[in-house]
Amino acid sequence: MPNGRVIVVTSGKGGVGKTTTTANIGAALAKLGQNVCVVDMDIGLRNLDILMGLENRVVYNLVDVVEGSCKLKQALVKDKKLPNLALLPAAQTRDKTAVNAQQAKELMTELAKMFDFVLVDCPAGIESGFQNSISGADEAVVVVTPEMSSVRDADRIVGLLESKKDELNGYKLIVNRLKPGLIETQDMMSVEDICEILSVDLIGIVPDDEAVIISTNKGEPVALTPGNQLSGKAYRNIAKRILGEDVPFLDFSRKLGFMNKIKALFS
Amino acid sequence: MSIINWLFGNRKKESSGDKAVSRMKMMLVHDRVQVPPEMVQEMKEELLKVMEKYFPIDAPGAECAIKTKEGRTTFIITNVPVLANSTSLKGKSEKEHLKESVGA
Repeated sequence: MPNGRVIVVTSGKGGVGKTTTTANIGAALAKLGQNVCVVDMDIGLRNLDILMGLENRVVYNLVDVVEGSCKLKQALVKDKKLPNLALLPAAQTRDKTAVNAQQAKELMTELAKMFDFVLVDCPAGIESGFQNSISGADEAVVVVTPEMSSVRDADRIVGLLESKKDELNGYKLIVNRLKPGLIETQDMMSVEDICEILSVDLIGIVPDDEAVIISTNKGEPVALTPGNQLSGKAYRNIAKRILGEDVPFLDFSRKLGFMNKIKALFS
Repeated sequence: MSIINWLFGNRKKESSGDKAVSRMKMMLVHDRVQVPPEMVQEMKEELLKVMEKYFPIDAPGAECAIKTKEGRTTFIITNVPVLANSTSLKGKSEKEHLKESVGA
């Protein structure tokens, strides 16, 4: 019986890529041979099923399990390609009050007995949905994009995670949707800036990539898409780091462009 | 020289990325302790009043700010210049001045 790691994927701000991150890290971990369950805690606003391409296979959901309308195993949706990857979908017709923190915690404990990794897709905000999501978590991953509003909200989340230090084994940062072009012209906060401001260790840098939209359209996480998409590689690297492997970060530092190199020569 | 000037043209200009970083730092320090900037100003004035009782200080030259250092710990940083040779204290010993201020 595995004693799985429960990792919550959170961000504070909506629309920064929590669900995409959950789907891709889950898929990448499964591809590496781990037994993985991805859990959609965004009750009422179900989306993880779409990103996994499993929307037509959902029968029961998380609220059904909590209310005892079905067994946990019945609600789990197996991935099309990877038999060791499962989804526990959120209810679409209910709201966040349908589950409380205690119930969520018990559910995570159950799942941790069945899987090596339980990845929880946390809803935006810092209210009950967030509290439920972190109640059973061992670790957290904070997703942030290099925008001021996202960093500010992430800072709130980091503050809240810090106050739960005793229950958590730690939290790491993913900088998502980095635009290397804007980093080069110095018109975007750099990864180093964000890590320093939030004072959190980095576990991944994911570049802004149209391949993510295309793979979502197809219902297949970009981490599993054949080809050399940088975003897919970034997610696969994160999965390896979660497993303890020392993988160097993709380099998107404020590189000196050709003109800046010449300027630097004269300074 | 015009080529050099052209090459150096934008060097001193703060990039929008840098601007975001400095605004971010300023904003978060107040977010974290949930204290608005006006309150820091209020505290500064009160602090200076207390300090003036004990030291001849240069109140206009005083600085007071909250800053995050060493990870996520917030510090209240005050820099208050003491006027060592202030004319108002000429001829008075430190003790006398202290007595006077405390008594006042």
